[in-house]
Amino acid sequence: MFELRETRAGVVGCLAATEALDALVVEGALILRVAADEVMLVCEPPAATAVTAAAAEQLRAGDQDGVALDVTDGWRVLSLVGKAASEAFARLSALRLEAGLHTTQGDVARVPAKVVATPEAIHLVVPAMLEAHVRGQVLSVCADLRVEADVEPVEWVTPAVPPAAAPGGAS
Amino acid sequence: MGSLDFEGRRVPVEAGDSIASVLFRAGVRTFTRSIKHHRRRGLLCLTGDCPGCLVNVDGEPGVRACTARARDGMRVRRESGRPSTERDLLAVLDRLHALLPVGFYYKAFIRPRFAWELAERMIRRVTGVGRLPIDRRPVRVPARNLHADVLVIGAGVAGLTAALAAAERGERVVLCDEARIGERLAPGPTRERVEALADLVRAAPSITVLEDHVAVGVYEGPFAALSGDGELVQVHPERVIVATGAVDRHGAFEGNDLPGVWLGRGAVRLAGVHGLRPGRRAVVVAGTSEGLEHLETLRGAGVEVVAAVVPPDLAERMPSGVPTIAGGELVAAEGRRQVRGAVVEAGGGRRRLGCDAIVLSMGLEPRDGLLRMGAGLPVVGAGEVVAPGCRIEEAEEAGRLAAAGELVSAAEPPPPPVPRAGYVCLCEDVSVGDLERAWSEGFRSSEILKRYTTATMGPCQGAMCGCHLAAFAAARTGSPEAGTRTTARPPARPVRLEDLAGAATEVVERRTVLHDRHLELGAHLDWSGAWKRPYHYGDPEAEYRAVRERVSVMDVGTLGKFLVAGREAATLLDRMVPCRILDLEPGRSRYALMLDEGGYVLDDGLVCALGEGRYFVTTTSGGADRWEAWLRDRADRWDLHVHVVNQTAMLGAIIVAGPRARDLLHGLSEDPVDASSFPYMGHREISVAGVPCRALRVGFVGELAFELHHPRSRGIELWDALLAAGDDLGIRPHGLSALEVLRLEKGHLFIGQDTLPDDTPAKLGMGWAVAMDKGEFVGRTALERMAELPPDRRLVGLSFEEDARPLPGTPLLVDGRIVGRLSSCERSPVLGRAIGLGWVRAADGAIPSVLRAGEATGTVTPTPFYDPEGHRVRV
Repeated sequence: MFELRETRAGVVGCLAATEALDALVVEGALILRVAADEVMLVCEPPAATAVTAAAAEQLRAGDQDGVALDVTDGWRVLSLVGKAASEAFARLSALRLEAGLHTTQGDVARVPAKVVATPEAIHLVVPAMLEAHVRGQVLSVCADLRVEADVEPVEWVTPAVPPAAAPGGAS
Repeated sequence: MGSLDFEGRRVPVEAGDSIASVLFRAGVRTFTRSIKHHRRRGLLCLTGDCPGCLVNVDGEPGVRACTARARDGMRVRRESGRPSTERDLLAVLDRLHALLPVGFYYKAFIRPRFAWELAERMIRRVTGVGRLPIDRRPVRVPARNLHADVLVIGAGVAGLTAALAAAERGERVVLCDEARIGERLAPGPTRERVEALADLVRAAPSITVLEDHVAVGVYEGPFAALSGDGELVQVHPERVIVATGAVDRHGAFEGNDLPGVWLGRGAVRLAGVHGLRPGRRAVVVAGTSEGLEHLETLRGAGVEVVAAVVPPDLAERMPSGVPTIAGGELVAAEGRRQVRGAVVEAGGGRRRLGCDAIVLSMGLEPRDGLLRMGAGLPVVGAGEVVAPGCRIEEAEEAGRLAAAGELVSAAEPPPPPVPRAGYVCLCEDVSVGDLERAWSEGFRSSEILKRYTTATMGPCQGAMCGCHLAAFAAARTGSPEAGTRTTARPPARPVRLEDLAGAATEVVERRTVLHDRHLELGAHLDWSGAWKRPYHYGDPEAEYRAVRERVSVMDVGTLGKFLVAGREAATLLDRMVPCRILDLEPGRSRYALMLDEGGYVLDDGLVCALGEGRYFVTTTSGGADRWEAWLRDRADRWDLHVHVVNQTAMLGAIIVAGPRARDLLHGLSEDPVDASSFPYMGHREISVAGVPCRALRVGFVGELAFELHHPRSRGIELWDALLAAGDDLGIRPHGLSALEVLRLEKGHLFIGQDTLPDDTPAKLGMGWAVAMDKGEFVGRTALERMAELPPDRRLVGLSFEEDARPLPGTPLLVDGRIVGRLSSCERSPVLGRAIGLGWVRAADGAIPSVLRAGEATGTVTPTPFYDPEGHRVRV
């Protein structure tokens, strides 16, 4: 059995020169490296404005054209929580998840997604316009795993130790 | 334990039974009829390698009776033969070989041309390979992915040992087998060892055991697909160990396909696992030590061995009391319905031996299809698949070596004797005579013999016949190269289509944030590209009139939206699109085409200058992905300091259109929206009902309109506020159906619907969108070159008489000749007639002015049809 729950998170998109992004450290935000010139920061929703401002300031120091934008509205975080979460994820994606805190990106239910796996949950960060599709796929593909979807949303909690940046891949 | 229904007869089922053992115990000997000659076929291998026992189970065709477990209540029937498998009138084809030579379907039924269509249908019926249950509800087979360091395919001694050894090295292992571990082995040392190893494997936490999962194929990656137990498992290992064992070599002799001819391991399985004698009196043809073990097992099961045909070196080890023919050769099996005798050649003469079973233990062929599929990949073999007939200790050592990553080179089994008679390919009914005929027609290697005769292309995928085909070609050419094994391809075992489709998922559906609001309003939603969008809310004409006469809203959140930022953003866009961007003032926007290097129109959009090196670009809904790819690619290629942020998902967009649009916004916004402070083709940041919006003055529908781009999360709030505030103004939302009419009246085209892949701006009448007097841009060189050519085709506006409304796609004709095609056509309520767009070829250097579209007559008419001066959009 597992839960499919919405996790409310702030999301900040950063585009800048590789070196500027390499040096980026923003307290309270998990850094997802999307591409050499693109980073996504995931944080608690109320922190999105502050994270955007902090990221913009840092990026400007390394790349005057760098952009940091609050793109929270463009993303949804669907979390798989519980014993069968890994099994459910394996049905949705061929991505390999490492033990512990791990981030990756790729095809999840035919959708380009960012994935944050923690010991407690597997978070799927998906484009907002595709949320219904992913939710529907989880419910239909994993029905026999006894999925509980009628669950109150929770707030994102940034993991204590940000993972190493995962290079490359399409956004 | 129960019973199954066999063609209307109740047949008892015992514990551990396969369908084959149940039917054999019930006296069934003929399980199928062969595909071409309708010869009787029965149990042969009992390991799922041959096609002799395919039956229909509960409506599912092509089930291998020898490996499928029998269940209480299942319905089993044989499929081939007319009127029945036992009494098959089509067996007459076995006497008409001359009429059905190899490759006859390449040569026959060519003329008259309809003959093949009829013949094909008839041939399909006659083959009797079973009918797909097309009336059965499709079953969705779940698929999952597994990641591992090692995938071991095959849970015999070598596979189990390899799995344990890999686990001991700290590796994560997936071990699969098409059956339950050990269930197909007769009692004896091998089974005991397998059971002991299986206990250790099951206790190992790092080994995932998948019994009843057949490996369909090994692919690049490596990647392997496993099917079974109601699921499809996609395994992504670092390396693969194939331990799929070996199968007894099928002999090529006259009558080698008769029921009663057994492969040694199959006969022993029937006796040892199911307690059934393959026959009362058997001739055993043994070529290996294992053959002698088989002989002993059969004798122990009560089978009388009439004779053992063995090579001289084995004759010395023959147990006493067994008539032995040393150095003899089996040349024929006799019998009509099943084996009644064997003909053995020995000492220069022939002997006929009365028997009802012939057991072949002549040597082993590796079951190496998966291994050959993995050539060039980190895929190694272990056990009999590389060393057929190896002993238990040797198999264990091979498993350990394979786990350590050591390449075990395949020991080539001794080549089989060159086939001289009988059937080579049981699946496709290809005889030695067929091979000889194909050879005489010039097909002179195993690969092209395969293609011409279809040998090795049946359900067994060459497991039984590949060696014979190779031996035949090699012997005829004298060249080993001509006799190499043919390419192995998935599926290695027959697999159901629904299993293969297990990994497929539904089409991805994109939804705007207003999706549920549309449903509440009774919208008819349908696909528009990758999006589900409202086509109408019940009354398209009322929606149209709301736009033309009052005010309306439309959800255009599907539009592509990009932020292009950086000190060279203007340079990027100016070189990307054919209109001028460098002089675009902040607060102004400009319509832009997207061309490729050939000058052909790919898409269109709007570029809005934000100032400080930032631009907001909106694109068509279907073209957003292409715009993003092009913007990013060009920025990289030209090494420009620009960043592109795709805002399609984070921004919603609602268009407010109609002569009362400004009145509506006045009531919801304190920001100025009058014509002087917010002119046509301008854009402003305004607040509407408290929602921050970037508003664009656009004119696609030909009325005063504001496109409100807003945070997606505020979309419902904005939509509700607009509808509530517009109630007094007679507001109603409009969908794509109304939009189609509105834009057509303005002569605006939909890229893709109204354009062809080689349309230039000039052909579309959009030369005004190209600034040839600016600097370089994508497609410029091609446009310059093509400017010197006379136009060969134009997109034109067409007006039709009052009652006509030809359908889009209708050919356009002049004097009965097709000169073009209607791309869009709708009835215009405001004009009272049908109007359309269509592309028309020039005739004698000019575009015709009157065309026929079906029964209608169309007149070429300048566009826009409605408000040609554009007063209404500029108010």
